[in-house]
Order: sequence, then structure tokens, then C-alpha cells
Amino acid sequence: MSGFDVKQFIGKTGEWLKGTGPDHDIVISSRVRLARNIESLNFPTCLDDKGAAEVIERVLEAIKQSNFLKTNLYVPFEALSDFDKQLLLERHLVSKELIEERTRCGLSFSKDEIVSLMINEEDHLRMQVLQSGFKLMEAWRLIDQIDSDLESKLQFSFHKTLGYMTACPTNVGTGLRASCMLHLPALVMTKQITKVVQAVAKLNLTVRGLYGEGTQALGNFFQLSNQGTIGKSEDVIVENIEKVIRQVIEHEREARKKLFKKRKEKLCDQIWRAVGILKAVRLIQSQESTALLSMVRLGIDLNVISGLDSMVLNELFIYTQPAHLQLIAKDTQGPEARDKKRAGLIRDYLKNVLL
Amino acid sequence: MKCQLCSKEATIHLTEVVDGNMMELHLCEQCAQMKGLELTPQISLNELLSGLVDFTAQEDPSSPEVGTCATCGMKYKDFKKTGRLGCALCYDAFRQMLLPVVQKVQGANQHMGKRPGYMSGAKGLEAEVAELSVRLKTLVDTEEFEQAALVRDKIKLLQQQMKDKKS
Repeated sequence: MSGFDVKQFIGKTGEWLKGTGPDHDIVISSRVRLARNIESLNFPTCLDDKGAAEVIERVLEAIKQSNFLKTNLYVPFEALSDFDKQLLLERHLVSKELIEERTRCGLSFSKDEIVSLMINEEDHLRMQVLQSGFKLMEAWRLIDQIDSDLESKLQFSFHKTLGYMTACPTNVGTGLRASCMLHLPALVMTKQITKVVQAVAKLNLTVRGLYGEGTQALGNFFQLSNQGTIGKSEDVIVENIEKVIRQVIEHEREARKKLFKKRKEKLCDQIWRAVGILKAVRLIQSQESTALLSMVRLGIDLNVISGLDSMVLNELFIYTQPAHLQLIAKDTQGPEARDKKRAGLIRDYLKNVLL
Repeated sequence: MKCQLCSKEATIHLTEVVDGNMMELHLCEQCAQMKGLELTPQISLNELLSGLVDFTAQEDPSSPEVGTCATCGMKYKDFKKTGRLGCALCYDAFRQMLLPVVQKVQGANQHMGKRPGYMSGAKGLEAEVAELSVRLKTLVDTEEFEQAALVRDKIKLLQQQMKDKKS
């Protein structure tokens, strides 16, 4: 396991942003995480510094011996600035909770950024597999193997009736949360999204915004995840959510087709206006750029726009986030300098798209 | 589900809390009338849910020895504020209050998924099936059929796992 330097992130995105995998035009990424706690140690909320250090030490030792994880990078949080933490959040390697609340925690992740393990977040261990496209079952299979591997080295707290013990009863049982990040512009434009969200909620799924818990839906991106973690096996939970997402994908495709057929001029107008603005901007905030880039993405998917592929666009989504902009150009302190840099970067990425 | 007094189909399901113990009654209409139960025919889901919350509130003991986990010192009232437990044994310490909450929030409280390697060996599975069979019998005897069905499913699942291991 080796150390980490934020410079490693320059010019490189995680595997999950590659824009590959099944249904990658609608499903950006698939993520499965497991919550685990080490037996006989208090959960992080009630853990003293010594206990927290013990958790980190034991997890790191287990990672070192794991064939899946031994080449992981390790990041002790004490050494990180707020900027570094924001960068990790933008790359979906950590949760908002981890960067906001705690100091006695750490992060270990694979170089391709598919596997990441948060240590001492709400639970001792939160491990995730994040992949590009619609690959939930595959993600579950991989995290299952990693979990079994770690389990042979760390004894996880388990209750015969309640399953894996977690700090919050909403995770008890399997400790599993499976989610997909979906791009649903046509369902938003045809005003069907509220209906979809309501229907999905009835099937015990939760809908969230771009960065998970407590975040707003931005740029037509929605995160769908399972609500219940107990009473069903992991395979069944993952299959259920896959089934629901498959239907949402179908609805989005249907809505896109309809829009393209019945309101083609209006749709193309919206897409080209977005391109026009982005090719001309001199200052732009990330909220606006995300919304406009969502339209450009739709334009690429519908073959309205050429000269740009969706992988490059995925890259741009990440690079236009505040911490990433600052990473690329050190002189971008302060919001206005960032908005200027963001505008320049977008114009540069879109230079091959001809109006 | 059958009526607990005769063998007709039970259409009235009542949950009563007596001295902190939850009791379930499943009766057919005639038996319920004979028992003199005044029935409000339509109880809305909201009423039922708020009833459950009241039930948990009643069960929330203010005396420190009951409301505190002896292992980590977590107080139940603090858990209610933060939603975070202090250690695995809090689940035992607050069992009475917590199980209904898990059931209500998650719609189930019986784990059906993966088990740690050290518990999935043939011996571990056999011991658990034996233990669950005893529990199943008790549940059937006390006519707690919904819980019994869950335990029965779990036994089936574990037996399947044993079979898979052998093959």
C-alpha cells in the first residue's frame, strides 16, 4: 500500500467515469457499498482515540494481506486540507459525512478508483465498488469477494437474527446499499420525473441528488438506491433495484424518442442553445455549467451533436467542479477566478463542436 | 391466518400492549364479538403508524439503568436524537424499543443474507438450524404465526446452504 498525493488526480479520472458499460448513455455509474464493524469495539460515535487508532491499524493490516487490496493507496485524514477532502468528494471516493465530521478516519482506494474503503465513518468500515455503466450485480459480486477476504482477517460484528451490526438501524442486516447514478433529462423535460420518483418510492427505493444523502438533484442527475437492508438476501436486493432501474431506463428512452419525434425543433433548440452558451461563456458557476452540460450530453446521446464523445464530457463534469478546477490551475483562488477558469476549460473542450 | 379461538379465517388482528409486552390477537368476526371487542371497522394506516410511534415512546424508559447500554454508555434518548448506536450490544440493551423501529422503518427484522465465514461452516449452520427449530416450535405454540413464518423461511434458507455446501 502506498501513499497519496493529490497531483495523481491531474489529467486522470476514475474508472467509473469512462462512459463504458451497459446502458452508459443513461446509467453513469453503479455503486454497491457494505457497512461493517469490527467485533468487540464500540462504533465510531462511542469510540475513543485509542480505539479509533486500533480500528485503522487493524483494517490497514488486513488490507495489506488482501490480494484484492494490497496495492491500494492510503490517505490518513489528519494530513488532508479541506481542498484535498473536497477533491476526494468530487471523485466520489468519500462521503460528505466523512469529510465533514471526523478527523480520526482514513481512506484506502484502488488506483483505478473502483474500490474504496472509508475507515471510521459512521461504521468502522464502509467499502464500496463504483463502476461505469449499469453493472450493479457485478459490483455486488466484487464487493462480496472483498468482504469475504477481509472477514477472514477481521472478525465482523454479526447477530444471528439481525445480521451485520451497524451504527444506524437503517443499515442493519446486509449493510448493503446499492445505487445507480442516472441521467434523466427527458423524464424531467416531459414532467414525468415526479411520477417516477413517487412510483420508485413506493417500491422502497430512495431517490437522491448527485452527491448522495442530503444533496439536491442537479443537472438531471438522480441517484436511486435501496431503502431496506434487512429481510432479503443481497442478491434479491440487488435484483430488485436492477429491475426497477431497468424500467426507469426504458421510460427515459421512450421519453427521449417521443421528444425527438414530436418536439424535435424545440429539443434541438434547447441543445444548441446550451452549446452556444457554453462556447461563448467567459464566467460560469458550476451549477449552471452542470445543467447546460446535461443538455450537451443529451445532444451527444441523440446524435444531434458531433465532435465530442460522452467520455470526454464525463471528464468535464468532474474537472469543472470547484476543487478540481483549483487542482488544474493553482491560480484559481476565489469564486470569480474559478468561474473564469471553468468557462475557459469548457470552451476549450467544446472547440471541436461546430455550431 | 386462522382465528385463535375457532378454526375460521381470522379477519381481525389486534395488537395490545400489556405491561410493556406486545400481544397479538387474531380472531374471526364472531369470536371477536363474543369477546365483546368494540370494533372500529376502518383504521387508517396513519393511525396505525402513529400508534406505533406512541408505543415506542411509552416504551422509552426514563430510568437510567434501562435506558442506557451497559457496554458503551449510550443512552436511548441520545440515540433517538442522533440515530446512531454506540456499539453492537446496544441492539440487545434497547431490544424492546429497537426491534419495532427496525420493523417499522425497514419492513423486516430478520436477516436473510450473507453470513460471516466463521458462521457458515457446516457445524455453525447445523447448530443454528437446531436453535431456530426450537424457536419455531415455541412461536407455533404461542400462535405467533407471522414470526413463525419468517423463522421457517430462515430454516429453509440455511438448510439450502447446507445442501449447497455438501454438493
